[in-house]
Amino acid sequence: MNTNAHVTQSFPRRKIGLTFALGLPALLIALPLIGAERRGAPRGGAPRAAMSVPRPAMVDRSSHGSIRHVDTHVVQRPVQVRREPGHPVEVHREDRTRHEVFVHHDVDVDIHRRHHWSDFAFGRRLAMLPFGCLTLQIGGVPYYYDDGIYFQPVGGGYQEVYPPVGVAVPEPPDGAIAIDAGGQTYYYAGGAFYLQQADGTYATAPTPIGVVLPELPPGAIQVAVKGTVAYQFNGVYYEPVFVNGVTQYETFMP
Amino acid sequence: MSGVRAIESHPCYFEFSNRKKSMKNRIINLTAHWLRAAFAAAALVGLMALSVSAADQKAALDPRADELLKRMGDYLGHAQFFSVSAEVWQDFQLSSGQRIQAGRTIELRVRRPNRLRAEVHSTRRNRELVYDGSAITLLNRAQNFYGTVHTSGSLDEAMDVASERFGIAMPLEDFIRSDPHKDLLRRATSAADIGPVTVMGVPCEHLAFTQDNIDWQVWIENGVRPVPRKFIITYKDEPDSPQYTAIFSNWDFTTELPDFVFKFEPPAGASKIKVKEMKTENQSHKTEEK
Repeated sequence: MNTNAHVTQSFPRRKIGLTFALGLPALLIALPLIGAERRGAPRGGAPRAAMSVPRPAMVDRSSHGSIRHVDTHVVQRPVQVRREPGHPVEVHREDRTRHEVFVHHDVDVDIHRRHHWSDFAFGRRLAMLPFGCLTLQIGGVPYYYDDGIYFQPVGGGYQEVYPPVGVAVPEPPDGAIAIDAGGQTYYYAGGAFYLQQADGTYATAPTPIGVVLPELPPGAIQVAVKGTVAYQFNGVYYEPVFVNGVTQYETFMP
Repeated sequence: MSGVRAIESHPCYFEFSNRKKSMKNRIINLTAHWLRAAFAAAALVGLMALSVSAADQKAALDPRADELLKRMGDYLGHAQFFSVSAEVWQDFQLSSGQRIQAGRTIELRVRRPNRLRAEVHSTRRNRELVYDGSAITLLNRAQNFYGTVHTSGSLDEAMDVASERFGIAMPLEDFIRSDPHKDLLRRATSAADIGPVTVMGVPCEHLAFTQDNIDWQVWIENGVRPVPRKFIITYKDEPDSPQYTAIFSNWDFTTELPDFVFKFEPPAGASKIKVKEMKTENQSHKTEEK
């Protein structure tokens, strides 16, 4: 009895083993292929192993013009705040997947759009304020704000001043660029960094140190720091560096 | 003990024991049967998927397109040195939604195995990228900055280092590599020979390829010099499928390119700045070269 039982049981065991040996590899091959088909991926295409690899950031793929490196380090360009009259500012996380125009002083692509705040010049005097300026107060000191440019009264007129820290405006300036640093999203424009507040306004924050910016603040002055070229704006220094092959600027304090 | 023996020797126990063993065997057999069936089905599906995908890929790659691309790849890959100009146009969408094109020109000089000089010009930009076999140097002529990345090896290796470690896009790298045919077709899922067409007055063959997230086309000159005359990448997984277009001219395989062509001399007053290595998702910028 025992012998018979042993024979009866050992036969399926061998078969099970054989089935596993053949079936399991086939199953492992088949499942990704079936999955790929469902996702609409190319049949027989190379496995997308890169998906699990940590990807460096900030390469604009369409500037690459490369097939070999079509997916190497690709992320979208920084989001630029677009403001339309009568519409609230549209800055949403999901918008980051869109390609917006990225005003950059040193990209291969020859596009450049100026913004209102691009013309900022520290100390420039005006006889009267631009139409529609906001009136602001910081610690009892009056400021006037016009889409990224700040003014203070002086000698019967007004002059352009550096963006003060701690002032809240209803929306970031037109063309502000969203920059993630220290777990927060800043909106950078005209040399100022804006952080969204709980009440929906945007308050100017101290410049985060160590962030890389695509463009210098308007009117930044070239200086030498320890024999190295740098720029200075409102007490903060900006070091030019090549990032992704183009010149960008990293904030630092000497 | 004797009691146990008595129970075991009882005919009822014998019948019960046999029934129990029989039931066990039936369960094992049934399980084995189902497992066999399940794995046989999986194996069949796997083999079918493999054969279908292989057949589809084979069918999707037009042998004529493959042959023409290989001809071009061999011609470029075997050329010891060459110069070429390219006009590049790139689609952009303004924040207003309006779509525009931006252009630039590229002057490329290549000497195998390890020399490259690329000059990129547009109305406001002017940059150079030089590889002399031991370092890649970037020059931003407009602001007079330059930076150096030390690397060595073949052009293929240098271009991979530039792209993968420093995010530096080597202009038109697909046509500079040692085996353009192999690299270009690496992830292609279909290839088609669209037919003869003229590009800037030059008779060419128009080839079209697809892969998972892009389509690309190349127009290859007919005759004894199968060089690319036009090249388009369509980024079909991006909004509005922007395109990158390069139109080639002035192919030169005869003018020799001596060492000084690939020697970088900083322009007067140029400042050397750092070249940042790419950061990954979980780390900030890594080592820097200066």
